[in-house]
Amino acid sequence: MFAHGLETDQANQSYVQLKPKVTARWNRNWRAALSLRAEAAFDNTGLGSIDTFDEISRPLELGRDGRVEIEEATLSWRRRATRVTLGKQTFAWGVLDGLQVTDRFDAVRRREAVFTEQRPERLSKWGVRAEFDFAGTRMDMAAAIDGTADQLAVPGDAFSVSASRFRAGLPDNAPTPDLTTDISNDPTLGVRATRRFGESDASILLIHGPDTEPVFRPDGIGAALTYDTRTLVGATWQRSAGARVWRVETAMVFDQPVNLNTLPLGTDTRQRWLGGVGLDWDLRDGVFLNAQLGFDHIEGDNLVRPNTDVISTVKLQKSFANQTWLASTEILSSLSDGDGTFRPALSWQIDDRRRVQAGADLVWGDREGVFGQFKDASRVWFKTDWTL
Amino acid sequence: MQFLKPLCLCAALSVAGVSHADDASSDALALARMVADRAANEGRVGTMHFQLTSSSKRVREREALMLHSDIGVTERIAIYFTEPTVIEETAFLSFNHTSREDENWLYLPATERVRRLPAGDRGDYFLGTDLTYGDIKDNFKFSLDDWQFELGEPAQYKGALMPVLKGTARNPEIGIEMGYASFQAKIDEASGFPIWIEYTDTDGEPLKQIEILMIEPVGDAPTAIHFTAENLQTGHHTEVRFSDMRHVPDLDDSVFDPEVLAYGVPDVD
Repeated sequence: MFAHGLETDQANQSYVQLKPKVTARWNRNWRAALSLRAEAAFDNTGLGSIDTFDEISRPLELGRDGRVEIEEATLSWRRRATRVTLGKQTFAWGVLDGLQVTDRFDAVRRREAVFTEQRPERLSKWGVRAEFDFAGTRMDMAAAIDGTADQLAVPGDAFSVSASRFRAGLPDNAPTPDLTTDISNDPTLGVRATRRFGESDASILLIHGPDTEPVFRPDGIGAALTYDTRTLVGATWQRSAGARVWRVETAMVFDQPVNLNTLPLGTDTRQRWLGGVGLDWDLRDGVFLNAQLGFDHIEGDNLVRPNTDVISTVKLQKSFANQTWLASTEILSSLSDGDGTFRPALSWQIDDRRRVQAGADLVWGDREGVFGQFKDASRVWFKTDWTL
Repeated sequence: MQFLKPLCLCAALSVAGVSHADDASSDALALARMVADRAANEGRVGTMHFQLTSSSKRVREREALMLHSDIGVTERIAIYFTEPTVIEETAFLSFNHTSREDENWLYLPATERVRRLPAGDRGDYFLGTDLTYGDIKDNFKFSLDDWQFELGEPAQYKGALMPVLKGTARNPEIGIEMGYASFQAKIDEASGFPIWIEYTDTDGEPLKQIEILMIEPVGDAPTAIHFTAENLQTGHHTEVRFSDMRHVPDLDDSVFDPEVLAYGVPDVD
C-alpha cells in the first residue's frame, strides 16, 4: 500500500503486509487456525503504537519498521449450532458498519484513523467464546483475558490525533507530555442474546471490561493513558423489507471514563448514550447504498469533548463486468462539527489472485474536529493484493 | 327474428375465440405448473464447480458446497465457498418462503459478520457469475406469481420436439426486480425441466441463455447437475457442474442457521 499526502507532498503511508494463514480440520468437529500478519513500513510512515497491546498479544518487532503479529490462533469445536472457540480471536458484534454503538468488545487498529478498507479494523484478543442456541435464542458469550486497547498512530505519523478532545483537552500546539500506557489487567466479559422474528433480528447484549478509549491521568511529570473498566448494555434490531434492510443500535455506558477540563488532567465517570440507524438499499442497476446516522452523547459539564457528536456515513457502490470492477464512494461527516471526509475508490480484480485498487481520502473541516484534525493527511493511495 | 342470427353467430364466434384463448392460456399455465410442481428433494447436498469465462476468454473458477432443502413452506439454499482462497469461507443463505417475503444472508470473512441482505435483490448477479440471486433460488422454475404465461410453437431441441413456454413479467416492477421482462423456454416434459431458456432484459433485448446439459435423479427427484448461463450482451459465460450430489433427507436445521454461516463449511454425512 502506498499513499501520497496531498498537503505535505510526502508519503503518508507506505507498507507491505504478508498474511499467511493455515487451517486444519479433523474429527469433523475440531478446527484450528493460525493467521499471522507480517508487515514492514517504509518512508518513515510508521506502523502505529505497540504499547497499547497487552504483553501476551504484543507484535514481535523486527527493527524499527518491521513487525510480526498473530492475527488469529484458535482451536474451535463445533457441533450443529454450538461452537466453542479458544485462543486469539475477534468478537464482531453490532449491526452497523463502522459506527461502533454496541460493537465495543474488540479493540480497533486506528493507526490510519477511519481511512481503512474495512471499518473497524479489529485487533484480536486472547479469550474464549461460546455460541449456542437456547430455547430458540442465539446465545454468544465471550471472555477475553487480554487487555489490548486501540492501536493508535504515534506522534508524528500521518494520522496521529491532534484535536484537543483526544488529548485530554491539550491544544494542538501544546507540548505533549511524556506519555506512558497503562494496560488494564481486567478481563472483558460479554454476553449477547439474539432472536429472529420473521424478517427481523433483535439482540440485547452486555459488555463489561476495560474501555478501548483512554483517559489521561497524571503520572509523575508526564501522563499515563489508562483504560478503565466500564459496563455497556445495548440492543440491536435489523429488518429486511424488499430492496431495503434497516438496522438500528442503541447502547448505554453506565460509567464512561472521561477527561475533564480541569487541571491537572481531571477525570470522572459519566453516563454515555450511543445510538444509530442504518439503511442498506439495493437501488436499480446494481447500485448499492448504505446510509447511517449515529449519535454519541456523554452527560454532564466540563468535558474535553462536546457533549454530543452526530456522525453520518453515506456509501454508494456499483460493480461492473461480473464484479471484476468495483467503484465506490463514501462520505463520512460529523454533522455536529461540520467536518468530514470524501473517499472515492476503484478496485479491479484482475483474476482470482491479483487485485489493484486506487482511491483518495479527502478531508475537510476544523482541525479540532473528529475528521478535520486529519486535514493535513488528505491523500491519494494505491494498493495491490496478491493471494497465493 | 332473422336479424338475430348474425348477432348470435358473432357471439358464438366470439365465445369460441375466447374459449381458444382460454384453452391456450390454461395449457400454458398447466405447463408452468408442471415445471413449478416438479418433484423436489427434502434435502440434497453437492459440490458446485463454477467456471466463469469472460468475453476475452479469461477464466475464473469457484468451488462451493451447496445444501438444499425444501420443507414445503420454505425452500432453503446454503452455499459455502471453498475455492479459490480469495473467496474461501464466503457463505450465502437463502430462505424462499411461500407465504412471506424471502430472506437472504451473506457471510464475508473480511467483515467477520453475517449480513442480512435486501430480499428484493433477486435481479442482482451472484458473486460474479451470470446467474442472478433469483436464478439460484428459483431452481429452474418460473414463479406463477411473477409471470404471465403463453404457449409458443413447439420447437426442436437436440432432435426432440419440445413444448415452448413463454412468460412475460406480470408488471414492470416485478420485471425490474427480477432483471427480466420475458422468457421463452423449451420444456422437457419427462423431467419437468426447462432445458433451454432465453431471457430478455427489462428493455426487451435478448439478455441471457441458460441451457441444462445434464439431469440426473437424486433421491426421487430429477436434478440439474450440469448447466451453463451465457450473457448475450457481454459474452460472459458461466458453467456450473455438480459433483458428489446426493440425497440427504434429514439435513440438520443448523446448516441453514444464518449465524452458523460464520462457522465455515459444515460436515454433512
